[in-house]
Amino acid sequence: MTLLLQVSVAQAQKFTVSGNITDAANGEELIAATIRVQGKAMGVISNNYGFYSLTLDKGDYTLIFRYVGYEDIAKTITLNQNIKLDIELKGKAKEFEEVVIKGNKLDKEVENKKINVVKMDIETIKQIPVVFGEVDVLKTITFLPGIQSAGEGNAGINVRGGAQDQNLILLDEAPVYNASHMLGFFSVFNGDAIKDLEVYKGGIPAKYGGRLSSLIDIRMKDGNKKKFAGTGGIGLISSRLTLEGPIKKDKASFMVAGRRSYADIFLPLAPNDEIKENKLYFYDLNMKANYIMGDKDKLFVSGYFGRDVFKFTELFGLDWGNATATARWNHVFSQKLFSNITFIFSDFRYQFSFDISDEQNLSVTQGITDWSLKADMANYYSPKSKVEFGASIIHHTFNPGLIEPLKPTSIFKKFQYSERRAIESAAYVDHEYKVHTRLKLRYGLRLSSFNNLGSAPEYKYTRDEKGRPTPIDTITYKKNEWYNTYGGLEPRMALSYSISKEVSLKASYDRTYQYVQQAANSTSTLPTDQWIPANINIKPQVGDQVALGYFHNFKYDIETSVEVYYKTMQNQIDYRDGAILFFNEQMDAELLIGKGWSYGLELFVKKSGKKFNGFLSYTLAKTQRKVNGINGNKAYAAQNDRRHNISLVGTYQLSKRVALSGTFVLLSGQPVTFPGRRYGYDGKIVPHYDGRNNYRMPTYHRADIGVNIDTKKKKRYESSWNFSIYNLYARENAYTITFSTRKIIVDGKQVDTKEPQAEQVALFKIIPSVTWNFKF
Amino acid sequence: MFRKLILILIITAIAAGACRKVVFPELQNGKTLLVIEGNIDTDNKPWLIKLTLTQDYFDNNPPPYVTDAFVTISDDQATVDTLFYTNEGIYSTKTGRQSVIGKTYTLTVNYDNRKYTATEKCLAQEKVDSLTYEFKQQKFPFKEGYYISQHGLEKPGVGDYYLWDIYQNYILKSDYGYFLNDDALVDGQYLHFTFPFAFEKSDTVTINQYAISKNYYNYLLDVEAQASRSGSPFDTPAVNPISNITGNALGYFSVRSKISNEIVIK
Repeated sequence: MTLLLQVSVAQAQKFTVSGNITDAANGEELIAATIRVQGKAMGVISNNYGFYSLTLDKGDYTLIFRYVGYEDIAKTITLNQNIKLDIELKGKAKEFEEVVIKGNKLDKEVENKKINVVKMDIETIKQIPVVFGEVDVLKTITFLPGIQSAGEGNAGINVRGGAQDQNLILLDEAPVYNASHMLGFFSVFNGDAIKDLEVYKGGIPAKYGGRLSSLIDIRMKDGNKKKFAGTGGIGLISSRLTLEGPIKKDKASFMVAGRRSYADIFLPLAPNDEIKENKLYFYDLNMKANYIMGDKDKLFVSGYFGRDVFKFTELFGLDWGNATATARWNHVFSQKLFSNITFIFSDFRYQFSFDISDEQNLSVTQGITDWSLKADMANYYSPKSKVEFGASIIHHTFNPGLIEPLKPTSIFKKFQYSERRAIESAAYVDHEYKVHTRLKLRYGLRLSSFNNLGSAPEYKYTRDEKGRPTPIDTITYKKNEWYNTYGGLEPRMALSYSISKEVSLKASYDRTYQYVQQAANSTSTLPTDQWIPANINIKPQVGDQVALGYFHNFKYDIETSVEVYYKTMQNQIDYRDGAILFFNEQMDAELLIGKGWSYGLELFVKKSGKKFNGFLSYTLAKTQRKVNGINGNKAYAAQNDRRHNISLVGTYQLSKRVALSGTFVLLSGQPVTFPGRRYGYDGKIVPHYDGRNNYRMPTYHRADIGVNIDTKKKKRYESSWNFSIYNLYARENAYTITFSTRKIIVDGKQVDTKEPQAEQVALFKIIPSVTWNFKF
Repeated sequence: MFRKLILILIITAIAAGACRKVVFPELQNGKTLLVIEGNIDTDNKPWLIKLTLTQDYFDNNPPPYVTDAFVTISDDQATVDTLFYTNEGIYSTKTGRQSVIGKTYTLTVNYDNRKYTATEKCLAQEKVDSLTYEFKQQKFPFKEGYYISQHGLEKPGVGDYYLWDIYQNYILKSDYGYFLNDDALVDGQYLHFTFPFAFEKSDTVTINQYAISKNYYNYLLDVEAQASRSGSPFDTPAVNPISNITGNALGYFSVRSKISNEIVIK
């Protein structure tokens, strides 16, 4: 805190220049544009709303405004009073555009590179289509070091050994509780609606909390403030359309982006009548509006709504999705003090129903709903010092299951499993300080707390020798009664030291708390995986991570980095053998508590240029867990433990209109439990396992290629074609290996030979796809 | 042209989809363990207990039978019955026996100088009042045919678990795995429910309803899940079903009450 005091002793005769940086073409705010003082080693970066503030001694200065892919603007100012200076930057002509992994000029300088942080430019993500030619932000960032895909056909991602529910995925600051469409084949984010994406693998700023392993901060476009415009595309899986434009020129704008899949449109072509009656589709909608109310105030309202609908004939149905809403008010108190008040709603729910007869029918609804309020302030004391502070409060409602009959004659009665409620609150302060021209420091402290809120019954258990729980006591809390408080201090710090203009060293330490978790019983991201709160039996998860990084830039625009990390995770949950996860009032009894740890080395080499851009990323890591009651109480490989992870990504601008892209990935197989022996029970063959995750799946590798062709510009619109091939050399990557008995078809009927065998399933062999995109 | 292209691509994509092949992962063979299987119920018939050993996963021979164990079943009134070896690992009482509702039974197996025991109580259930049948048209995934409904009171008090064996002309319908349920959502009600299997005219349908313990119910669910893993990531994790036998043996010793009803479709 001494540093804070030093800064606050401000010297006289200082003035502030501040303003907003926007795109000249559409008025979109530019995040992380740089403002440098010519001739001085000083500069700042615009914040997430395009706002910047720079405080300097009285005098004359030339400021250089810069953003990747845009032309620089230099402004000479005489600073003898506070100045408001808004800047519009113009995009460069296409042939000069650097289509690179977020190569923000200032980012490029080693001094300003942040340890643990990866960014990917949304335009680059769009050039690298994943399976079926769909653009998918979550799947594409898994090419980066330290970020790992949970597998093909799975939208889950693992960051530095963390579990899938340990990623704080924010869409315009609203948490997204289930980021997958179609059971994980696609993520819920529509690339056309997204402006910016940033991932923290550690060293998460004190401003954010609630998850152990990462922050994935996704921001929607604001909408064109200059003119009405649209983008869209038609692909194999879905079509999308985004409309945006001014409500009041330069003052207010809107953006609406919609997407719908149409796999079910093709179902009537199916040869089988029974398949024709099924339904399987998803849709999502992103909306945003913003309004600039004078110099000091801005209002934003944004929302997301998405649903997946699966109907198996008229009898069974399953649908699920997220809804989020964010309302934000930016206010500039003074030229140095920027504030942001945010109101957030987030809801995830799924509903399963069946209706097989007048007596047997019901629906089950489960989910989580959050209401939250946040206040964030940023004080730009000087180019050397920035202080951020704020507070937040979240009200969580967990619905473990509402059973409702669909018809009055149903044998099932309406029943609500006890809802759980909780309050999660936090306050933080974060200081960024340039101690010396070579040494930069960022340190912060977050105080978080969690309270369970009645009414709800809580149970105490004893366990038998097999870990089976028996409740011995029930405590019923009254409505709105606060009980069971957890809390903790979360120190976060990062240090950066520049050895030279090309070389710098970084280090970080951070502690994170997580109070809500997902009860996942399989490796996939299922909508039925319930979120459950910490309570008297489940302690909050605590993570500690240290990381070291070495950054070195070379000639010819080659950037390299090496990062190492070590992370421990306390109070990790796993399920006892034979856990019951559905309709269980006493879900917490099924959990076993243990610890986890992960360490690794991440290498990154990036080359930028006018024609060729690409990077190579390699991660060497080990992640383990130890949970009493699992694997004979010995440590075992965590579900996401992959020793090697290599990605190679390249794009090449062949001509003005043709761009090529290629990717290659190689991942060690994930740990898996295989049986050692087998036995018979009741005529069935039952595998017997000697340990948890004691084998490995075969190594995964795959190459994809794509070509993007811009058609001749028409008067009213531009369009392009994207052709791609997924899994170019048709590698049969094992999706699963199953131990079961051999089944044969005799006279059209399936017969079990009772001969044990292991069968491997590969999901996608070679998938060509095409997408047509347009813009007007 | 565009539409045609899309259609071709979709067909290719689907055709290029999931492919299966048999693989032979190298497995480390763990310790050989004793496997105990046995169910006793309220019918009067000889009690049977089957003892086998675990075998290598890919071993296609019949399981190794245990022939030299000493097996007894006793009740809580110190009545002890000895079971004698017959064949294929099966031990049997000399004469018919039946379990009595409310009594607790203990199985003891002495094998290879080790003692294994398991204990379960014979649980009560309400009687089934009647079975009826009704013809239904095909409604996918259900086939056209006669469907059997059962009518009766469910025993009041949550925590009852049931297993049904369904026979078509005295042959057990086994193509659907275990048919199990608990009373969590329907406790204490007078129930009319339909079994989801189609029968034909002039079939004799026998329905045996067993009241089983919670542990056995979970055991069967796990056996079912482990024996029929489909190979998707949506499967439950690989776990060993929790046996009620002490001494690190596999299998289960189940005691239950049984109600049997029969109906002929005319």
